[in-house]
Order: sequence, then C-alpha cells, then structure tokens
Amino acid sequence: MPLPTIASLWIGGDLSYLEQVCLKSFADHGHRTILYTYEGVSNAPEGVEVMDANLVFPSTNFVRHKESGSPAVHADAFRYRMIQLQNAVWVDTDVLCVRPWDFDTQYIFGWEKKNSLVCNAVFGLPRFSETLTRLNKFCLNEYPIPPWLGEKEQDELRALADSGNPVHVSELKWGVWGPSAVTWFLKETGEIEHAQPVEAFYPVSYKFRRELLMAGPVVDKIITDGVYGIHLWNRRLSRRIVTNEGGIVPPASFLGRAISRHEIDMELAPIPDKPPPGYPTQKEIAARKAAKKAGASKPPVSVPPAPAPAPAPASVDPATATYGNTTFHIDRLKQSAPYQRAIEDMESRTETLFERLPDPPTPISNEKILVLTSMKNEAPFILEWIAYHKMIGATHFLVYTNDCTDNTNEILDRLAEMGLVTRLDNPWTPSSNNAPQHAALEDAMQQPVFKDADWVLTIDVDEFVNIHVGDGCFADLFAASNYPNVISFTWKFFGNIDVNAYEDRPISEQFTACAPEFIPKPRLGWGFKSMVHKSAPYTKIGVHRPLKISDEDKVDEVRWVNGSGRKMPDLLLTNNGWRSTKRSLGYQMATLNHYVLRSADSFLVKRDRGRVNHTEQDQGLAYWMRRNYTSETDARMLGRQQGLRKELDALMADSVLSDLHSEAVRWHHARIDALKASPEYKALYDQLTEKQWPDAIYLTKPEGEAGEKDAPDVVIPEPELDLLPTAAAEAKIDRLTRMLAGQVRRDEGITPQGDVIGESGVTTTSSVPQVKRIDIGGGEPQAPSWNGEPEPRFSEMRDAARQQGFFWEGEANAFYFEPVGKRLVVTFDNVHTARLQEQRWPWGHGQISRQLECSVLGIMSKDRSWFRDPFVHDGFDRLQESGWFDQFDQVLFYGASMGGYGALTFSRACPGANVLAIEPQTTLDRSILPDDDRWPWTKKLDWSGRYADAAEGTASARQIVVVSDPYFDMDRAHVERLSGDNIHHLRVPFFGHKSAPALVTLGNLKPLLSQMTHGTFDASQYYQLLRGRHDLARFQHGLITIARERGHLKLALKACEATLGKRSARNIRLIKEDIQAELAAKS
Amino acid sequence: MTAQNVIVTCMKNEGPFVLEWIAHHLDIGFDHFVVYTNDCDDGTEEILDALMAAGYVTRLDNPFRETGEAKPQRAALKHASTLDVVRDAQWVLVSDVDEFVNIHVGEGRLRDLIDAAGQPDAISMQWRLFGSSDLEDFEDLPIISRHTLCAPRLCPRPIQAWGVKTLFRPAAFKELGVHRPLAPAQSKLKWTNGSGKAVSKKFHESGWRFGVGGYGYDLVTLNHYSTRNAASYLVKKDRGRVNHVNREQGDSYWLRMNINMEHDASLYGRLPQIINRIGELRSLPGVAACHDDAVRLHVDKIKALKARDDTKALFDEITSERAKTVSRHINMIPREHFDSGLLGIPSDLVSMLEKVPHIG
Repeated sequence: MPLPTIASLWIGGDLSYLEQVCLKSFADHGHRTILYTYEGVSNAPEGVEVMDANLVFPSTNFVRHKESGSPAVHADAFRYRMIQLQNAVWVDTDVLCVRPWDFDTQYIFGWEKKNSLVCNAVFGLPRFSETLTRLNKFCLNEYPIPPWLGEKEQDELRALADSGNPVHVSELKWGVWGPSAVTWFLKETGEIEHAQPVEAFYPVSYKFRRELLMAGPVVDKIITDGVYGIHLWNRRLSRRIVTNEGGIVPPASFLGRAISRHEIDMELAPIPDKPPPGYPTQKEIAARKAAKKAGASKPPVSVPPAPAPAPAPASVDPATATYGNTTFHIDRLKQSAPYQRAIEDMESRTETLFERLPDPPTPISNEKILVLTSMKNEAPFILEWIAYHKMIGATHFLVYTNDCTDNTNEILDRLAEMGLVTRLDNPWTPSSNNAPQHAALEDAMQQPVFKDADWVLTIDVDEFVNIHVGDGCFADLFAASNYPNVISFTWKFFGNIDVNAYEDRPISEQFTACAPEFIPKPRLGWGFKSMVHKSAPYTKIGVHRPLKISDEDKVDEVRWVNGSGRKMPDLLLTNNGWRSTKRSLGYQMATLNHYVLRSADSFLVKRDRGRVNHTEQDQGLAYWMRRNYTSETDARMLGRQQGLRKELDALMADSVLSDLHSEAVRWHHARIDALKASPEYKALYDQLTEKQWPDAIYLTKPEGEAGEKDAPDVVIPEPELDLLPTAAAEAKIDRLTRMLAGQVRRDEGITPQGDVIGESGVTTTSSVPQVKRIDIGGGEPQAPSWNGEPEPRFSEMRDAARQQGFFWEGEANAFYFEPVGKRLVVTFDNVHTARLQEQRWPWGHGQISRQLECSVLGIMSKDRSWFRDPFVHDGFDRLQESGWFDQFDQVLFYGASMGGYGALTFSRACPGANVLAIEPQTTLDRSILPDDDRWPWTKKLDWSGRYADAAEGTASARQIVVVSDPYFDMDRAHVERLSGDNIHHLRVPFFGHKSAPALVTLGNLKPLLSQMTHGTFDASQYYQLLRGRHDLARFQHGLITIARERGHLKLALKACEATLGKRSARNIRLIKEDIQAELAAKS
Repeated sequence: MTAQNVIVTCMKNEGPFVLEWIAHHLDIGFDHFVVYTNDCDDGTEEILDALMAAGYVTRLDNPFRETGEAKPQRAALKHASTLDVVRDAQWVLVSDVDEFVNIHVGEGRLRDLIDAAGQPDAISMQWRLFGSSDLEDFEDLPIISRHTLCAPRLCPRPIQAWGVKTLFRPAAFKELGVHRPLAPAQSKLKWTNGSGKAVSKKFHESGWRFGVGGYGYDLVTLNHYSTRNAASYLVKKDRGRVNHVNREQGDSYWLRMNINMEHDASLYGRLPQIINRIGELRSLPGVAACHDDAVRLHVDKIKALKARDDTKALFDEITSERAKTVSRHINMIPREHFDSGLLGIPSDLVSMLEKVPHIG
C-alpha cells in the first residue's frame, strides 16, 4: 500500500517549533501531510499543506473543555468525522514520526497502556469501520452518559439529565470523547484486535516525558524497529521547556536532535509563554528578578538558523506506454524519501551552477552512431544488448573479442554478415603492456567504421543507455540537450534480489532493483561512460571518456553535457576524470543501467572467466556484495520491452543466428551445472543465495575504489542516517554487521534485536548493562575473588561489576551478577558462546536485564568444560549457604545444550527455582551414556562428585521445562533420563540439536522465557505457537528425512509435495524424485 | 496442445471491451477463453470469431433458448461443463468481461498466485468495485488505464462488494457455477480466499460472497469495472444484463456500483504488457478491423442514446455533481437510499459532502 496521507488539526494562531517538527517529520518521511485550521496559519513547515477545517467540520458548534479551556474535546470529534470523510490517518500535532508508516492495513492506532487504554493521538480506521460509526454517533450527543462509567455514576448523570440539568461533555472528566470512548468502542466491535503494541506510538510514557529533553541517547535506546512515532505530550512538555530550559530544547537531547534533523529553526517559531491563569510569565519573572538583582538574567541561548532548503524540482520523467495516440505515464522510478531528496537537491544545485548548451555554431551530422566494445564469452547476452541499442538509434557495432569459447564470435560474425557488426580479434597478447580493453580502443581508432562514424559510444555488454526524453532514442537526447558533441552517462548499478536461476529472458526486464541515484555522504563516485562526436577536439578515445584534447585553444569547441543535459564543468574537459563528481552527475535525460551481477547462476560463469580488463581480480562473494545495490526501484526499462521484443524477433528471424543463440543458452546452462558440481562454486552459490548480505550502499569502500579488496565495514549513508534515531541506527548497524558476518539467512529473515540465540551461529548482542540499581538487602557475597588469569573477553563485565553486582573469576569459569529486579535468571554459557572471540556477556543478557527487567547471574565459560571445574561448584555452594537466593521473588535457571546441563545440574542450589533447559545433556559420563560422543574431549572430564549428574538433582526444582526434538536420538537419550512430576517436556520435532534457534525464529523463546521468569508456564499455549514451525525449512526437511528413514514413503512424498507447494527447493525436489523412484520400484 | 488455464464467460454486446480483457488475461497466464454469446449486434461475435480463428477462443451461441433455461448464464455453464476443453483444463475461472484478475505476488501471473496460495483446489477471488472515476465519455483506451478509483478493501455495503469469482481445478468439482464451482468431486478440498487463507467449511457447500470475517486481498483482487464510463453505461443499461433479463438497471445500480472512494492503480503498472498484447492480437487477421468497427458502433450507439430523452436524462443524472460526490462517500449514505436512488439522498447531506476536500 502507498504511504497514507497524514492529517491533523491546529487551533490557535501560529505553530511553535514543536508542532513544526512533528508535522515536518511526516513530510520528510514521504507522507502527504495536511494541517487543518479554522483561522489559517502563517508558518506551516515546508511540505505541509494547510486546509480549511470548516470543510470537514464547521466551527459553529465549537466545544472547549470547561476547566482547562482545551479545544481537545472538539479535536476528538473532528478526527472521527475527518477519517470517516477522507482517506487519511489522524495524528495529534505532537506526534513525531521516526520511520515511514508503511503499514499494510488501514487500522492504525495503538495501545497507550497495554490492554487497557488506546490513545487517539494516532488514529486511522477504514471508512466503513463500525467503531468509527459508533464514535461519530456518540459524539453527536454533547450530554453523553458514557457506558463505560460505573452504574452509580451513570445513574447520577441520568438523574441530572432528568432534572433538566444535563452535564455537558466539556464538564466531564477529560477524555470522554477521546481515549476512553475509542477504547470502549474498539472493544465493543472487536476491532481492538488491530491495536499496535505500546511501543508503536507511545514508547515514551507520560511519566517519562522529560527524558525527551535529556542530553544523550536516553530515548534513542528504546527506539526499536517497532517504533513508528513518538507522542511527545506537548501540552505539558512545552510548558517545561519554557520554564526550565529557557524556551529552547537542549540540542543534544533526543528532541533537540530531531529538531535539527528536520531543519526546524527554534528561534523563528518560539513556544508562547502562556502560564496558567494568575501566574506570571517567564518574562515577568525575569523582569522581577532583574529589578531585584541587576544583571542576573540568563543570557539568551542562540541557535544558528538552518540554511534555507532548496526548492523541490520537478519529479523525474516517468516511463510511458502508448496506445493509439495516447501516451500513458507510468511512474516506474521509486526511490526512498531520503535518497530522492538527495538527488533532487543535487539536481537543483547543478541547475543553478551549470547552464544548458547555447545553440550550436553549425549543425552537425548525427546519423551514424557506432557502439564500441570488447567482449569475452558473453554469447547468451549479446542479442538483447545489440537489439536494444539498435532500437534506440545505434547504427553499427564494433566489437573486439578475445579467448571466446562460447559462440560469442560466431554470433557476432553472423551479425557482421547481416551488416550490423564489425568483429575483430583483440590485438592484445599476454605480453602487451596494457589491458585488453585499451589495446582494443587503440586499434579501433584506425578502423574505417570508426572513422566513418558521426558518434562513438564506448560501453560494455552489461551496460544499457536508458534515455528518458522523447521516445527514448539518441536523436531525442541530442535535441533535448541542444546538440552536444560529447555526452556522458552516469552509471546506475542494478543489483539482484533473489534472481537465482539463469533464464533466457531480457536482462533489462529481469532486474529492476538498483542503487540510489546519489548518496552525498559517504559519497559514492559513480562512474560514467561517454559518447563522442567526431567534431569534438579530442585525439583519443578512452574507456570512459575522450582524452587528449588536440589543442588547448580548442577547448571552446567542446560541447559536453552530462546525463541531465547540462554543461560539464570546465575542469573535466581536460583532466582525465571519469567518475561523476557532484557537478557532473545527472540523470534527468539519460541513465547508464549497469547490470553487473545478473543472476546468481550467471555470476558463477562470470567469475569463472574473469573480467576482460582485470584479469587478476577475484570475483567472489566480496565482489558480489560490493555491487549488489537493491534499495531502490527503477523499472523504466519495462516500458521498452515491447520495442525490444520486436527488434529481437527481427534478429531471431535469421535461423542461423537463432540457432547460435540457442546453442549459447544451452552452453551457458551446461556451464552453470558443471560449475555447481564443483564444491568451490557450489559453496559460492549457496553463500549468494542462502545468506542475506548487506545492501552495497551500506558497505564502506565501494566498488572500484581504492581498498575495495580490504574487508568491508558497514555504515549508514547520511541521508538515511539523518532521519534515524540513534537506537534505530545502532540496531540497523547491528543487523548489518550480523549480515556481513554471514549470520543472517535469507529464509529466516532478520532476527529481532536482543533475541537470544544458541548454537546457530548468531550471537547475543553485547552491550553495556543498564545501570539500574535496586535495593537487594542482605546476603551480599564476599568481594570479588581472583583466581587465575583475568580473561580479556570478560573485561567489560568486570568493569560493570565495579559499579554494581559482582564478578568472580576462576580458571575456566566466572560468575557475573547484575542486579536489576526481584526476579533472577541464572543463565549458563553454551559451547557456541564459550568460543566467541568478542567481549562477552551472559547468554541472553540484554533480553533478560532490559526487556524482562530481571537480575542476571551469568555463569560464564572460557572453554567447553561443562562447568566441571570445582570453582563453579564452590561458587554455588557459597551462594546457597549464604542464603543469597532468598532475596529474589522468582529464580529461573536457564541454558541450552551445555548451558542446559548447567541449568539442570545447579538448580539444586536453589530449591524451589524454575528451570528452562533447551536440549540439555544430563551427563557425559561414557559409563552411563556410552554412545554420546559428540564432544569427544568431555570423556576426560571428571563426571563424579557434587553437582554431577543432572538427572539426580531435579527433585528440588518447582517446575522444569525441557525443550528438545523427540526424534533426535542423541538428545532424547538425555531427556529420557529425567523423571518427576515437575518436569514438562516441550517437543520441537525435527530440529535436531537446533531447538533454540527454531524457537527464536518462531517467536516462541521470548514469551516462554518471559512466562518462566514470572513462574507462570502454560504448555498448551506453546503448542499453539509451535504450529508455525511447519513453514521452517528445517522442519520440512526433518519430517521428510525421518519419514523416509522409518519407511513411511508415502508420508515423505506428501511432505515433499506440501513443501514444494510452499516454496521451490531444489533439494526437496530431488528427494521427491528419489522417493517416487523408490515407490515405483516397489510396486 | 490442450489448454491449461481456461476462462468461461458469457457476453452480450461487449464489442469495444473484448480485446483488452482477452489481452490482459492471456498476459497473466490464461491460454483459452470459452465465450457464449447471445443477441449481439455490436461486433462482439465478429471479434471473438477472429480470435477463434487464431485459436485463443471458442465462441458458442448461448443455448438458453433451446434448453428453455430462464437464465442465459446458467444455460451456458451447464453446457460448458460438458466441454473437453473445460474438463481437461488445469484451472478454470468463470468470469465476465468487466472483471480483471489482479495478482499481487511474484510477477503478477497465474502461476505466482497458485504457488503463493499453496497449490489449492480453488481460490475465490473477491471483487473490488471500481467506479467510473468521474469519466463521462467513452474512449477507446484500456479500461485499466482509465479507472483507478474504487471501493475500500473493507466495504460492507453494497453487499456486492463482498462478491467472489472462483479459480478452480475442474477435476475437483462436478459442476460449474457463476461465482464458485459446485458439487465437489473429492472429500477433501483445499479452498482459499484471495489472501490464501482457507475459506469456511460452510462456503464449500454454498455462498457467492464473503463477509467481514472472510475477506482478503493479499494475493489477488478481482477488479470489477461494472460501470465503466457514464456513456458506456447507457449502452449497458440499454442491453440489460445477461443474467437478469427482467431487472431494470437504473440509477440505483449506478449508485451501488459506482464507488470512487479510494485509489488503486496496481493494474496500471501492467499497461505496457497489456498494450503489447493488444498489439499482438490486433495483428491477427481481421481482429483490428473488427475491434475498430465495434468501437465505431459503440460511439454511434452512445450518440443515439444521448439523443433520446429518457437516456439523456439518465446520463445527466449519473454525471451530476451529486452523483460524483456520493460516489466518494458511499459509507455516509444510509442503506435505505440504495434503492430509493440518487435523488432520494437528503440535500443537506450531499452539500456537506460536496465541500470535503479530496486528499488521498
């Protein structure tokens, strides 16, 4: 769905900067934003449209609150009427937008208090909503008897009404037409089910509103992906700004940064100093003070005015489709708001700097357009490229080839016989001192077809000139740019979203995801390619541009324009630069679409052959990642497909050519299959198609820049970063970092921040623990003990423990305690976390301390020794003996695998505790369980003594929940050893020793953990939730494998079919074929 | 080669609109059209016959007079159930020429829909009523380019807004029906709505529409252009509806179906493909000439109808400001006025609505 229109109502004079920033935040995120007023307003921010509120709700019956004088009652009624009449979402003027509201629903409202109150500061409903009907009906009566009041209160109101003194809505408690009514009617109609969680719009509660004015990332921390807007509580906050902050929001606070982000000038629209009746204004207070003590007044805070924003230029040319005499304009260029604004600013700036060309002194001939290129093994892609450029006006192609083994030469030679191409062998040899492409260019200048041409365009077979003026032909571009003699086209990189398989279908049709046109910071220097007219005074043709001007005096004869048809800066005419600078970049008339990646399949072939010009470069994963730009959409080439198909058909009508092409396609398919059979290429292919890598715009040192081969790092470009609150930016960086490390799979999507994940390879987010002291009286253990070498990976925990809690360290393990609340989670490391090389925090630390607000006792492990060190046993003895656990209301022991063993084993130190053990071991004593040799070194550990066998220590726990896969024999052997009424088995079939990541993916771990920390576990709920597992690849594969192993072939076949119905998976298809063959053999 | 995906439909005087409809559905993956016609005098049959020569269409005379069936559509569907081309198809849809299948997943093609819905036996696609977009006159341009204003997704009235048409595997059913197939041939059926969610068990037995609980447009919408422009509506009204031969289609039909409340241009993006397909079809022998003749006949018919007092009065009524205003605010119109017609709607309500700015 397109972004909804946002609308609000303003009553009372001009806006202050607080309303300005809120309204502008919506416009800046790409929403159409409307402000209704009854009296007009002179200072609406840029991008906000002002409309007459009388058109929606006439002011004749204006209602104000009796006590506060607030027009809020009227505004309540106004919004319900407005959304019934128009397709708009209501927001109060004190809601700040922090990301685009791209909801896939028209129900847009949220809980202010979970499950008890929906606020109406953000309110959107479908126009046919029953709630809306009831609200509007309810607001027709200015003397309402709210049905949600108690019987007694309702009776009183009724009695007053009966006695002829009905109570007017403005005399009732605040909010009668507002949140109370909204919540009541949403519940009555059931539409309350669409309520967004509290964090969506009310992440900062009324109580904590002052945090909005505190310096530092206080508020930023809570801005997760689920936060769309922030209700600022302006009515109270604004008074505080006036009385305590001198009228200026502290620039370093969250709100202060938002104001500068949205370019609002606080001085131009101050908050009016309106104290409650009978109180002095700040000015009066200051005057009194000044009268008492001369010269003591506070100096005014000065804030530099923001530069005037550039006017928005006309939008880019849309693609068109023509039917009869009618041309349809189709907006196929979609850029996200921050990057769209960046390119618009850029284009409007060059518009003021660089003119268009004056009329040419003499007309030049523009008939013969030669395209010059080099190729090596590009056979399946040649015809589209030739057909396309022929369509837009190219008349001949001069192609140099080297070392082709795939029909490239044959196709070109046939095209040569048809008169369209001249093909020559590249004169380059391995002993040449330049690159193949340069050798070709030098040779080309001697060729008759070159000398004969009016224009020479130098591009590669993966580059397509896309012209946006007229009919999209070169002739249209010449005319629109007033007949230049050099034209440069800036690259636009097209990336690959899930186009895995190679298909013989136009590249220009298959790929529409691309890079933003301009990123100011860090600036990406997109390169350009050029076409040169023979009259231009240059002596040489380069890969990107003409070189070596024949005579410095002739520089005036250069008529060189960029892709927006503007004169190139003088400097560029004689230097050899080939990357678009801020001044030379432009896309308004033409773009050079650069399809550098194509499909994942074809990429393997490309990697196999090496680039023509860069024979040594490895084109592996890093090469792909650095070029995979997919954040924007430019589908304007789809409008050219009709013409392209005609040209292609005309070429393919030649049977020799069409046979050669088909052969090339077959060869390409075969080559792909052969490459995929090699482990190296298969591994690369899996990397490309199974993992989610960061989009190239987020990588440092992009394509072609110095240092490209160094390991990339992630960064968010400024236009986007400017709109992100700190925490959201941090969360994004965190996700991108995990993507970069190959830790995010495509099919799993992005793991929610703060989730704890076990041995899947995804790590717990480490962060500084929140300093939140609680008074935990008595039983504080002894001072930290040091026993063995301090572990460098634990240094942050050690520092944190100096502030609060404690930290004990032994040779192999450590105890870290962080006091947060009266509930405690004792959490254990697992073999995966023990091996992480980064700064460590207890498993699930962030979630336990911040989200669940529980105290944390982390049992850390430096190695994989299953907590068998007596140091750990001593520690738990000490805690138990000192009565340390008694200070907590609830204690949960928690861990997975090795940590699950720990949780089960050590829970006996705290009788009455709960345990959540995910796929735990009970013992690795080979004399008890001889078959479990998954961790060979553990046979040497001492499995006797205190805290040894987990199965023996479970009786004292209150409730033990064990999560495991009943079909995974290794784990089942352990789990079956556990017995007792207090044990609940939660089965996660077919995930093997991967139950924890499965729970995370299904979104079950968080609620499970949360319930267990409260001591309220309900098994039936989890089986409900677990149904979602049927869509996980791991489950599907597991079910099929187990069914086969047990001889249930028909069930396995059914499971294959069900899976293939949901997604196309090559491995499942192969298994299915196997099973079918097996079944056929049997019958 | 046998057809895979077949549409069965009835037509009566739909001349200028046939080509685009066929082109669009060919483009998204249907490969054959079984069309029953009756009483056409506007070139509909000639276009269809030209397309039949190229193999895209099977045109048949509607057998309703011979069979004595009162409803032409019913007779046609009964007959279609016996055709091999229908029985042997993978997928069948019974649909009308003013309905456009609009798929929102993958590349917008039939196979994308079927995959996304989990390879079911039937998918009931819900109508979204597209209004006139205030267009008063006919032009020979694609319908999908002209009409982009429509009813909201949640639209409880008129009741037609919940209506469905069903794409189904003929092997799984014994009979064709207008809105959905009848008489399941197998005990277990996977039957989804337009969001890929299972329809109610009750719907397996009967029903022609969804309600507030079952509607869904996540995967597919059936764009229903039942009014088109005001002038073409005169022609439509003049011919009567195929299936409701005796019911008047006065302004109360226009009032119900002409809904211009929201903007949905999701099909607009397929214009290049559709225009391209139309071009391909026009290059077949006879098609272009037949289409252009039908357009001329339609324009002449409009001229004649506008010259007649009764139809001119209807034209003025449905193109009035009042009608346009009401079409943007169907949610504000009390249900009882759907039958009383445009003129029965209170004037103060209309004048209040007239002032409301169009903002989104």
